[in-house]
Amino acid sequence: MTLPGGVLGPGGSARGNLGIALDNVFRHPNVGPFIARRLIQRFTTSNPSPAYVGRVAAVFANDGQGVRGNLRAVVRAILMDPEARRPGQAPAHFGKLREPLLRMSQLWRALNARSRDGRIREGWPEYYGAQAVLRSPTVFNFFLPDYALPGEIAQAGLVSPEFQIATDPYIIRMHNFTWSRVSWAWWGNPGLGNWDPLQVDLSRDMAIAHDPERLIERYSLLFMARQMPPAMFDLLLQHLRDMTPQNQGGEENWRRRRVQDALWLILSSPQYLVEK
Amino acid sequence: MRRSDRREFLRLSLHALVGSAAFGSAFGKLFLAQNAVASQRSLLGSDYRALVCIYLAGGNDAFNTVIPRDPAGHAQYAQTRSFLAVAQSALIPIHPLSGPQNGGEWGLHPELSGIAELFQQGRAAIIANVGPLVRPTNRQLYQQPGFPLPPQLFSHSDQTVVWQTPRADTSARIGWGGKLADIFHATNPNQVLSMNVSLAGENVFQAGELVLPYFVSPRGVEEISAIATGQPNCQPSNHWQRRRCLTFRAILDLPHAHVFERAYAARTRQAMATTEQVLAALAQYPNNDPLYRPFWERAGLPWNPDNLAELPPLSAQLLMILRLIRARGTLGMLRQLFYAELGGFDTHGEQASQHPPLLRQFSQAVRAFQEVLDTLGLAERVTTFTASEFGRTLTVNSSGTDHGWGGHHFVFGGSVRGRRIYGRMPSLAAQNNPDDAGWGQIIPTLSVDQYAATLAKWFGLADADRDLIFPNLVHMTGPILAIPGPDLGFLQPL
Repeated sequence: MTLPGGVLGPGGSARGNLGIALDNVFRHPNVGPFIARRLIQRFTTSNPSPAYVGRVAAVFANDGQGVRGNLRAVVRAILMDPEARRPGQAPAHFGKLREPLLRMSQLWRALNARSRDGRIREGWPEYYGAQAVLRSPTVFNFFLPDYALPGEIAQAGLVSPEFQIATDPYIIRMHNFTWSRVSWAWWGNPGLGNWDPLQVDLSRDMAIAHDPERLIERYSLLFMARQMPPAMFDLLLQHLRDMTPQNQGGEENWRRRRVQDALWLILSSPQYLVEK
Repeated sequence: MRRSDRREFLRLSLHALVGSAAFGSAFGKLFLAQNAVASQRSLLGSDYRALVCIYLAGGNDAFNTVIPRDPAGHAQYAQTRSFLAVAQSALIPIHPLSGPQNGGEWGLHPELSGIAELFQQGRAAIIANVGPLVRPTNRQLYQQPGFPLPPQLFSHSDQTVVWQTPRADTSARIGWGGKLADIFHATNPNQVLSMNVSLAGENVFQAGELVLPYFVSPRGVEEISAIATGQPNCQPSNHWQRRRCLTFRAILDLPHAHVFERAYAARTRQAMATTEQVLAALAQYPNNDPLYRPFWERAGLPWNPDNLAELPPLSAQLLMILRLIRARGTLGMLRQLFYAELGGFDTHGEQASQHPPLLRQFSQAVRAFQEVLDTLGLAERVTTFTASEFGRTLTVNSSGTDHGWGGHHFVFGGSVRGRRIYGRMPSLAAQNNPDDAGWGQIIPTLSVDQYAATLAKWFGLADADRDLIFPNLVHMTGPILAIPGPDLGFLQPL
């Protein structure tokens, strides 16, 4: 507390007093743990251990150079913490559900998406994911940090913020978002006509589509940090092997459809959707 | 499955759960559900009943919704409400058969003409000054240190939770609608689809310990396009969709080590199964039925059933609720709880321009909804009620009102003992107001528990099960409350 007893003295300008009041809040000892938990939930895990929160809060209090509130140091502490880096040291529930906007942006980034004229026409992502940049429906953002999905999660005393918007229509629409992007909005699709959405580039991965192991391994790396379980790998491999140039309408269609099916099946799986 | 078999199945399942150490943490919910099994009354009744919650998000300004009309009352209101006061001549007069307890003449905001009609027809009642209470509270008790009060009064997120939970002294995210569903789910022939249906996303009201709501958009239900089906056996997709569907299902059904993966897989399976059921049922009751014309007409729009987007959001939600109610036979539903929401009531600023259109939308949508229910002969089977996290302050700021506590609420339907104002109107005095907690926040004289328990009783909740859902209700007695006890009397038993 910078203010004795938290009370602002008489006099001073409105601007000056506002600054003092904000500093007063900023220096409150609860702010570090509060913001640490919120940021950890956004970057790594919904349910950080108290020790993890404590380590990040300590960096918020002092970045090592005596500076309080150095966000660069705080984010580094979140990402480099042993709980985030070493699976063996993390609890079994470490991780979080991927939120819709980050699923969209990850797909576009991993597949070098672009439009012909460079503009981005994705005006209504909330239709698919109940989320749009800068369009939170309330001052409480898209979901609450303490939301617990009823059932096993709530009974275990865990919270699952992103599940608050993973309701039936949006679970289905996000699967449909992914499918429409990989099956339709791909670079070079003549069916797009004059329409110019963000188009994923499938060509890089079509070049290795004859080798389904390699294709799946690439996507496990790009999307799942190489955490794809072997049983899932085997199911995908069998699926892709069953697709042949003969039953997929020729060489090029076969390559493209293998890539499209691999992408959709991976990006719609719980194994991918829970980031660990 | 016959009803007695279902009961037996539930009893056996519960015993199996109790016997399993892994479910030790679930004892609370098992107690509830077991009680439901034990209490035959809870499971009786083959008639259809539905409760529809219209949540006015942000905190409706109840004191500019129901307004004093007699000269003395209006003069005091006008002085306190200053530039926000509605002129006496603009009010829509209502003529209650009884109430409020402290008399006076009353009117509704000029945008509430549809509600006023329903009130005069005896199809609407006003419940005065309801809010969350842990114990009956007056100004003196409120100021007494240590007196039990709801946590975090005047905060949106907290009071939203408190209004919707069955106990005002915790902020557990389990709602009284969810707890009702935990008990009544077993009475529905359909054990896959939730009896709680939300048209407006996640909400505390409908979250149970066992039952999660089914979420549906006012626009309807969609399939997963890549597999074109939700059927577990992946029929009736075409060949490659079917192959893709089988792989999708196989990946979904792999053992999942992470609790979030298990939860997401379960949610996806549930969404797929219910999508197929609801799609098929809704196909029998399409949007373009002329029956729904009142929604357009009341909103002053030409009837255009192919463009639902033109309808105000609350109308679109209530229209979908009607379609689902009509499909109740196909869906195997005897008891349902619906949740609709109208947002924007947090009128700190520009209230004079922002509040009236919201009231208009509310009134037009509810009026049309009741009109269609009347046509269908379902008015007595469907009771609609309002909720909102708080009333607003009596006092005004520079252009609006701030977070309050108590507020007036509406109940609609053919089972309502209507054309009555229940309870007591608080003083609207700007100064020396005995009902004022301090900053124009009005101390409720009826508790949310009483309001909710009255609705729950009509829905079929046995008196013996009441305390399981509303543990603080036993304290709602004595002279501080306008009406003591668990039943406020505004609903006629079916």
